[in-house]
Amino acid sequence: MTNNTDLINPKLWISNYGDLLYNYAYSRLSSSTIAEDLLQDTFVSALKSMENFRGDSTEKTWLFSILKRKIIDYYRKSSTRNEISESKYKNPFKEDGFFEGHWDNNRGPSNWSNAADGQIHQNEFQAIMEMCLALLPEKHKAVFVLKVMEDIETNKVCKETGCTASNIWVILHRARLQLRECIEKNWIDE
Amino acid sequence: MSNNSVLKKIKNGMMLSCDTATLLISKREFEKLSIIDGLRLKMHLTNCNLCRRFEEQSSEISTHIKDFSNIENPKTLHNLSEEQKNKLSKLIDNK
Repeated sequence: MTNNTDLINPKLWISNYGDLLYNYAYSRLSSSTIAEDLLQDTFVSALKSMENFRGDSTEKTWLFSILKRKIIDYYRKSSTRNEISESKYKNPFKEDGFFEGHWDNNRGPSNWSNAADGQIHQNEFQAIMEMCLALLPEKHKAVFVLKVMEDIETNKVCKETGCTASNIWVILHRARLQLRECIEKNWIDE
Repeated sequence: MSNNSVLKKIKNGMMLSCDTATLLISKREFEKLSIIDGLRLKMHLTNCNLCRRFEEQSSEISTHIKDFSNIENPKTLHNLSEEQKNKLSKLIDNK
């Protein structure tokens, strides 16, 4: 029988996976302090459950699965603290008149092709994306991260964050409109 | 009812607003739309340049998100500081 210690070596966790786990957490939490906290929790849980590790997955996949659970836990807790508040962001559509619901003047999508034709700098895009994510209202961010970034089932996302099967699309819609506009302002206009 | 609001009613019955069209675009990424919604969206996109742009950009954003969600081949942007590494190493060693 294989001994767990052959498959797992905690002494190498930081050097082998530290940056990967941290980067993953940071991109979803927009905060170095919270990312670091979740990494600590991840390692503590991993050390506790080491005996149950059967080597069905790699050590790396196993650590990531623990971190992913910590991210869900974090957003469940933050969602109970935060109501879906009226965010300051105003949807980019006309609010009345004959063209109600149409793109508001100057707030429709600009042409990105100039920026997209050249090499898209992945790192630059990620940096702007993270900055824009950080600006989302907490509850919108929770739904966006769990549904779009973590690709979790709709029912489960709603259970964790308290959204409903119908308003989840409205939340994601608002989050996406805000993100798109923020990216356009910060990336395309440069 | 004024003439204007009658016209608006007719228009809204037949055509999606950009607001609803973009909501359906976001939703479609995760769920199949009803046949009616699918058709109305298709019709809207045929006529609306800005929503077609939104559709393209939205899928571009999703592609980028998937790229940096990939744990096998990540484009690492944030690294732990030496101080953070030491702190975490200590935590692991002491357990």
